Amino acid sequence: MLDYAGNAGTDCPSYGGWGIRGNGLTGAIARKANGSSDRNSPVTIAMIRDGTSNTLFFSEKRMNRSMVGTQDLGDDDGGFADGWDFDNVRWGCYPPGPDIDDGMMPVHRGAYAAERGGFGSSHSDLFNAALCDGSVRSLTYHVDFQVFKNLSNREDGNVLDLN
Amino acid sequence: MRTSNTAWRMISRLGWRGPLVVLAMVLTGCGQDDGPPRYSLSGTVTYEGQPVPYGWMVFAPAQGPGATANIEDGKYHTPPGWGTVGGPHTIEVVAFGKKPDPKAATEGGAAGASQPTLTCTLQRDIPKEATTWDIKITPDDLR
Repeated sequence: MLDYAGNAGTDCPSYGGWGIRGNGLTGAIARKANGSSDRNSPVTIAMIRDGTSNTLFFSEKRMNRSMVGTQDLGDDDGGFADGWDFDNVRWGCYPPGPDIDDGMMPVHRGAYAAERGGFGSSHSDLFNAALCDGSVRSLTYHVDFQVFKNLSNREDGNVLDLN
Repeated sequence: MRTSNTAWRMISRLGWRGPLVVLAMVLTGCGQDDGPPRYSLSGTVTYEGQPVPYGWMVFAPAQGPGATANIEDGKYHTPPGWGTVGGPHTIEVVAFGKKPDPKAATEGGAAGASQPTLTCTLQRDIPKEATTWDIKITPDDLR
């Protein structure tokens, strides 16, 4: 349904429930939960303290190719109507990687797999990432994990070297 | 990081020589980004000696690309070709106390085992070779 997902940041202290791997407090796409005062406003430009060219906006998402189009693919069955979960946002606390296309264990197909939380693509080597300044970069899956976390966190204050 | 657009712009500027350069790149392997060597890891995951029914792990090295692995029936393996780089790692473990029915793992039956029973962060030195490597979690690791 959707091959792209918004950046929900690196704030992943624990598993947050169905399809939610973090609180989303440090990403570019904020969680908007009812009644939660710290999460009910959109992310403004001023809140992207690392700068728009140093912060991931959205990217291709990691899929299970062998199950695309089936209702068993829990992270791609609801479209935009699913709201803030792994159909539509992904987390920088998971290393990016290529789509999965092997005989995954049945319980991991739907939701409970590490790959379901991260970015990635069907390309063998690269995935495309849009930054908050509107630019698009092709990143390899070999990107330094800490660098990728810094890119996914809009307010870590760390120096980012994508080159 | 690699910017493939830049590479294509350079190649197109070469005119008729472009295809020759591309051919040379293919033959020599130039343009490939294989990244640092990765080593496949597999083994068991136990908590107090008991196999962890299922869950997943994220391997974050001090430097270099990360890796993931899923746990089922106390066993794990990194995806083929996407192992860890070895060396000092922080390992985030999210584990569940029971394995759900495969049908319950899809969205319709998500109400089941949706909360982890064990989450912890381990500091471990991972071998720099493809090997069997067991992960033993103790109560001390939960602090």
